Amino acid sequence: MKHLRYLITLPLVLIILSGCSDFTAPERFDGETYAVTGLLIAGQSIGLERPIYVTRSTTIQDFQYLELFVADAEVKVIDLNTRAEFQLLPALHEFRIKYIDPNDNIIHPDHTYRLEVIIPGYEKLIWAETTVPSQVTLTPDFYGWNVSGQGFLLQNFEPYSEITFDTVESHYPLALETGTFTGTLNIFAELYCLEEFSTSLEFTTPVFGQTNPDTTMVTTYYSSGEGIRCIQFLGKYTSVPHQQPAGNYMMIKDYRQAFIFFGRYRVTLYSCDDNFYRYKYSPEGYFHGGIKNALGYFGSVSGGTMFTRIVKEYSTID
Amino acid sequence: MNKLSILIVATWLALCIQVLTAATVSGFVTRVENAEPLQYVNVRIVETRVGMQTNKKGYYVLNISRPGSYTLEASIIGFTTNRIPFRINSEDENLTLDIELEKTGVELQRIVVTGESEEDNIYSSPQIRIGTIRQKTEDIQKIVAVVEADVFRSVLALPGVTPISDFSASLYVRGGSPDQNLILLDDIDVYNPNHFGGIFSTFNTDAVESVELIKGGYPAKFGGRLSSVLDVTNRQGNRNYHQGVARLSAISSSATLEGPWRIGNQRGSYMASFRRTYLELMQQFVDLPDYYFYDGHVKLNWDLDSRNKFSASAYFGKDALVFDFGSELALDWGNRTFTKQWVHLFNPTLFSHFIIAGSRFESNFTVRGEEVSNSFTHRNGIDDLSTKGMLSWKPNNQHQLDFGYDIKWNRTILKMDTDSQYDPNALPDVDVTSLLSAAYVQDVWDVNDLWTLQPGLRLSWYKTLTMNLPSPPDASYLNLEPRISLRRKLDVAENIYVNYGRYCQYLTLMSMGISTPFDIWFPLDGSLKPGISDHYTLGYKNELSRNFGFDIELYYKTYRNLLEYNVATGFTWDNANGQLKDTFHSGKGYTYGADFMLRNDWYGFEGFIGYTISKTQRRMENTNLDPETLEPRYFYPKYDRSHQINIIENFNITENTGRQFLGGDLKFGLSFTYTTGQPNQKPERIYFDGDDFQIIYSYSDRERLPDYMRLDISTKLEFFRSWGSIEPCFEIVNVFDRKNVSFRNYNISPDLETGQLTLISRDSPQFPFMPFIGINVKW
Repeated sequence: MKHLRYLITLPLVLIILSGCSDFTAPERFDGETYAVTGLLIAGQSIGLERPIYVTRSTTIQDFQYLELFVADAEVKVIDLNTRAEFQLLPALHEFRIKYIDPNDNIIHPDHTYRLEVIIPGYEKLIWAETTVPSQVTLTPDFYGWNVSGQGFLLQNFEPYSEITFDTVESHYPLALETGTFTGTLNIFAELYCLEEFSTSLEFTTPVFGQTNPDTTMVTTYYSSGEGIRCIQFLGKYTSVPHQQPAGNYMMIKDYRQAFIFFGRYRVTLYSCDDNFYRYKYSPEGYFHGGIKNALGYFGSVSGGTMFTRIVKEYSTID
Repeated sequence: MNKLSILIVATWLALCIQVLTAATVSGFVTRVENAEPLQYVNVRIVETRVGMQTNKKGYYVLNISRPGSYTLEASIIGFTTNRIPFRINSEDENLTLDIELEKTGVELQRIVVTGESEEDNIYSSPQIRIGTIRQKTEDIQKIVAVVEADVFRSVLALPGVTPISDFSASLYVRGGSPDQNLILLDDIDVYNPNHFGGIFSTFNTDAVESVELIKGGYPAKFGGRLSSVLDVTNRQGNRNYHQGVARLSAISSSATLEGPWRIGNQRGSYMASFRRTYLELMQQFVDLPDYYFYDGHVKLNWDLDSRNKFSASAYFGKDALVFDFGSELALDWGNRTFTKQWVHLFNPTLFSHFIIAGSRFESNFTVRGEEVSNSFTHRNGIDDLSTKGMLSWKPNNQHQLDFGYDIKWNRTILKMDTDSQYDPNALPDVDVTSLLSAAYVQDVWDVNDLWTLQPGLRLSWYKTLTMNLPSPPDASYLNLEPRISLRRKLDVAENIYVNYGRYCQYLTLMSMGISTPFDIWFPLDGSLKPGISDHYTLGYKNELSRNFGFDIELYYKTYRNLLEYNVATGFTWDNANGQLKDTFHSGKGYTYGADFMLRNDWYGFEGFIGYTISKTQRRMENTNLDPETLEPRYFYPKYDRSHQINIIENFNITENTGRQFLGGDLKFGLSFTYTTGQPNQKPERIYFDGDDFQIIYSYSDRERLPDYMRLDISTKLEFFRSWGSIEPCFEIVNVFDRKNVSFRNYNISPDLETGQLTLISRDSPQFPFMPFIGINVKW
């Protein structure tokens, strides 16, 4: 019976042979893969600032900037509440092909819009639908300090107003006025540092004793998406009635840790639909942004953008 | 079917009790030097060649069918063999013979082979131990360690156990994830047994008697997890005299005291061990977060009489971290356990072990902003109250019947709160209780001198008791978990065996993939089915010579109803309408492979060489989607390693050459690990999303990171003095400073000069070249 010891040989050989195989997956994408992205903003039209993009995804090695954008797509947006159709046209702007509405139809809050994209040579209809969130209004100076040179401003040019890092949360909370609406909102906030990278930039909170970035951080700083330059956060916040100022407001009062450096910032605050929210929070969000038969997202938001300079101390005293 | 079942059980019982009128010889085997029980000692009657191994409490019982004179022999590697002649006068005599064993070469401080196999040098072991490796305190402390010896780190050096990163002591055993390991400390579950964000395990090695890892196919008395069992036993303490150990390392100190106690005619022993880090003291010199951890083990034993022994043990540990990142972040987390045990002999053939135990893990996380006092709080934890009864009946020398029960009450809490205007419905507020009951029976049947059959059955019943959320449906699951092993002895020290077992799991872990204090154990609700795994094992063991032993185990495991935390849940939590299925991706998987282990004790070199070849794949819903069909695809998880080599060797120069250095005993240690690189996702394409160029990623296992390789060495010089010994030690981790990679991240960055896009990959490093010094004092 000692030959029983050879029982183990056959499965062992099979396992060892299988160990010689390639333990990695094959390429995921085959042929042309298209991405469509579009963010509708309540109260605005689909213009050059927020157009629809139709791009042909490319391998990084084969990246050719001019071939990335699809210029001959047929792009249509339908207001499902009114059945109005907007035929979008391609426009070359800032070296990009942007699909815009030449008639400047305004996007209405609470309306549902359907996007349809036909790309010559691509047999599938790319489509998506989004319902625009209720109208909200960005409130830069919630407490009404109204101090010249301090706080957030809605324009992006010098001179920037200032806010000290120590008082930014207590004096200038991020706030959206929501009209008659009270309840839960999908909130997207982005704090983007407008300064160019420099080793003289200064951290608002020293990191293990380091007060300034070193040169190794330059690529991190300019990397796309979230990073030390651009902090985004998402969540389900509520709008509730306030006495002073009177009205219904969504407010965020703990956000200063998103200011990594002292300097100029662009702060965006949106109430967003489920498509954009899902696109932002999901791993591989391009699968979950509501686009059918392509990657990307078709979402809608309400809100706005404001600007300030985060400083240690105010340079002017009123 | 019922009649057939009754017939089978009746036949089995008849086989078991066919020789009930035998004499017995029984007792406890202990160490001479401290009277602590010795587990798994081979005890046999020389004349009849009938034998067994002592159980975890050091107990043995053997049946003798005829009166006469016999010799009892007790042996285990590292101890002198003890032979005791005795006489049986009648067939109903029950003789008690306690045995003491002395360490071999005590004067030379010789220690046994690291990573000892359970069936080393045995004559007749009834139990078929599948995938079992046991390590004693000395084994663990001999392995070269980062900063200090660690239970999990020593287990990670074994074949079949995969390290995922230098910064994590989490155990990935034969294709299983850490949540599938049953980790027991004195028979009670420890839920998140990690310090320092997973770098260290919670157990202080000086307080640990032994660690037993069962890599699969575990016996019927264990259940509730899909992959493995890590059974940690606290030391009982020296019953003969008081002694202590103190250790001083770069980041922590520890002290252990033990000894006997006596009140009147009652006696027993105690053991207490405490450890604390002092990293926060270095803040004067380096800007570090305010962090420390401590832990303690306490055990008290009371030997009431020869048939009753009681013990009570407790563990407590805590980590605390405060960090300023613009807002102040404060975390603390820790485990507490207690176990009360009663060992009772109903009669020499019926051994029992009853346990009442509890375990708690909790973590707290607070962010304090400038404007609000506590801008965010997070509290989670799990409570466990358990009672177990484990009985072992040995009616004759052919059968050993193990049976018992296991009742476990769990409560999970997860609560988040904020002063901000965050939707309270989107912040988890969970309070769930559940009950898991199980009964088991297992027979070890020595069919003849060559064949052993070990059938077992575990019946588990799980039920949710209370849930504070309105939507999750109640769960009630009943499962039969059959286990069976068959072994054929081929020679005195050579055997081959096969095993099958089914395992169920009713708790799941909400984890980000690496161990953190925020890992949350959830009892299943009715929206999710329990995880089920089938294990198939084929093994071969051969003690090649006195110097070498060789094991191979081939295994195949299937998994159903696997659960992985859906990280998007943080943005979609819904107390009012949510169910547990919204929080987890479910799926299936399989793993197969082979573990090889060559153990050596050769010319003073003690250790082992281990090699594992394996393949693990999972298919989880909404994960790793095929872009065409949007269906999930099988993938190699992060912890899959095709090939793994471990070499652990120790060499005591003084013991083997007789030469001392500077008047002390010199010892060297070496630990080498090689693994195939971990699977990783890589960028495949790019697109423009209106703001930035974004990466479209490949399948999650498109590439492998560079292979992992690390060599650690240590040297210790032990000086013996009249009061004890003092041992300075010096260790180097990653001798060749190899740049092992733990994670690789990709970003696209525009080249400001050319306008072209550049793909940037950034590797997170693992342990660099690191020297450590420390000192151990024993008295």
